[in-house]
Amino acid sequence: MASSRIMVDSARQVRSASYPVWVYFAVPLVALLIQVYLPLFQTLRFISRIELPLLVTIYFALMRRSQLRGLAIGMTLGLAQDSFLPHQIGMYGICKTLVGYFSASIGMQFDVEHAFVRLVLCFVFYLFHQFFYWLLQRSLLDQPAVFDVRTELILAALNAIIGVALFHFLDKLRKRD
Amino acid sequence: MESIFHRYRNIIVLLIVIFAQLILLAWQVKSDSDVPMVRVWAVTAVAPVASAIEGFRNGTTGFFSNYFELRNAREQSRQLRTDLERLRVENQLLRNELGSAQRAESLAGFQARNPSKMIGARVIAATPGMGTRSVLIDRGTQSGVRRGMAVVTPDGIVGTVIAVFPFASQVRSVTDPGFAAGVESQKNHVHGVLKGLGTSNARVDFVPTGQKVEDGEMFFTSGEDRVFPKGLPVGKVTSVREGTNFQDITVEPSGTESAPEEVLVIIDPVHQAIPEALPGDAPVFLAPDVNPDDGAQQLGGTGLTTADKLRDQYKKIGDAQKHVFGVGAPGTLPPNFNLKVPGVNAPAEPAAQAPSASSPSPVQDKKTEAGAKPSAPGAPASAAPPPAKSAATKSPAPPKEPQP
Repeated sequence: MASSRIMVDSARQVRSASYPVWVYFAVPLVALLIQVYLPLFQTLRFISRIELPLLVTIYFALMRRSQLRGLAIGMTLGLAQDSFLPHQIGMYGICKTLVGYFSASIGMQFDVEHAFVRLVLCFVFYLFHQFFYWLLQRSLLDQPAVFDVRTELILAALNAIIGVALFHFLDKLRKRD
Repeated sequence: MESIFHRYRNIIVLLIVIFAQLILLAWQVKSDSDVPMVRVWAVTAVAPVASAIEGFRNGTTGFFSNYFELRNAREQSRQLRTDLERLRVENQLLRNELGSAQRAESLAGFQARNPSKMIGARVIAATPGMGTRSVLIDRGTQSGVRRGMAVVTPDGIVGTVIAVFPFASQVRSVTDPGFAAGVESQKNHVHGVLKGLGTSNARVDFVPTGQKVEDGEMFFTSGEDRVFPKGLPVGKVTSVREGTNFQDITVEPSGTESAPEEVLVIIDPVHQAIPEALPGDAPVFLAPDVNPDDGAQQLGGTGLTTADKLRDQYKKIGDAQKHVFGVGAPGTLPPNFNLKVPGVNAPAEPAAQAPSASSPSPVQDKKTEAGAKPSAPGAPASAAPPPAKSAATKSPAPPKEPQP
């Protein structure tokens, strides 16, 4: 019963959502801005642990149901995020490209408007993103990075919860049929 | 081929993108260089918005912080204003207290110097009417005040008692038109009658034309009215004009010039001579020394100030070291003023030991010769051996303490 609800079973669920053009610029920009600006303040430093660009990537990839668009959004946001960081450009780009691609792939199989699906996808993709980033750091850059599973699980849960709320908000920006 | 590409388009694109980024990464790592273009784009996209947000935040927080600061400043300002008012009142009260104390001291001094018997009174009310000027004082019949008595201050006459009550009296001011008193000029002893004008000034009537009265000259009471004793200051001449028979002389009364708060009522008047000099030219009164007994007997002088005593002490210490003051080039060593010289800045040696002392201090002899009190009555000054070379002059070390 539950599986029938979360799997795609109608034409409405397969249809991709469309947004005004400004949303594609404004939302990633705001996500980046929050990511780079708010942690400047001591009391808001915890915001850097919330991967808003990742959540935005997942959302658009899921909702657009297009692997190429998800890939493009992920790559753009990832490279932009890399631009604000002191390391080489491409780390987040690769991770988010993969997340965008796989999100769009999975989004075609599930009812991505379901809160539980969103929660699980956010949780999984966050872990995937962090793990892949850690892997790239270790393998490509040979940096002594640490992947603390417990911390990452907690952060994944936190990001998943925030992701569900964020997705709910972003749903309101959708074009009406 | 085309169908394969079409079929696996997405995955191929993904691989290309990933591969491109890997190449980009590898190139950056290998060449240790950056991709400034991507960074410029990203930063250019975000920076203006961040700048705007930061500006907005600064403005908002600045507004609120200014608001709260302003609120605090207003509160602080109100507090400071309250404090200022309180301090002003306190200051005024203290000034009044000080003024009262000074006036009381002045009155007491005047009372002590003046042979007339007086009692002090406080002005408790002013009763100015149309053209009349009088005040109420807090002394009446219970204090021995009678109608017609003179009221004065050290500065000059104030008026006469015109009505007496048990605990208060009404005093007609010298500036009241109904007031009259016999006066005499200071320099030429020109006699006249002082009358009030109803203003702050008074005039001197019945001074015949031709008698010399100068501007700025002081008038004193002449004692002829049998109210004011002779010799009390009345006021300064402000203008002199020749009339047909009498001169028109205006006087600024010195007793009412500063609206006195404390006055003296002359109970038993005694005439005195008019002073030769103006009150302002009187010699300055020097208070007695704060420590009248401090070394006065030791130095054998009375009425010396502390500075005089210290100078004398230093002179004796210098003499003990055979130092001549005022002689010697600049830079030469001064005498050791910390040297303990018995009888000067140290207890005098017992008289019994004086004859047996191997090197008695010359100061002792000098002091004895100068007629100072000897250290002991049984030890005559002549009993001391003549001063040879003093140990004090040989060495700056202090002499031994006197043996018990």
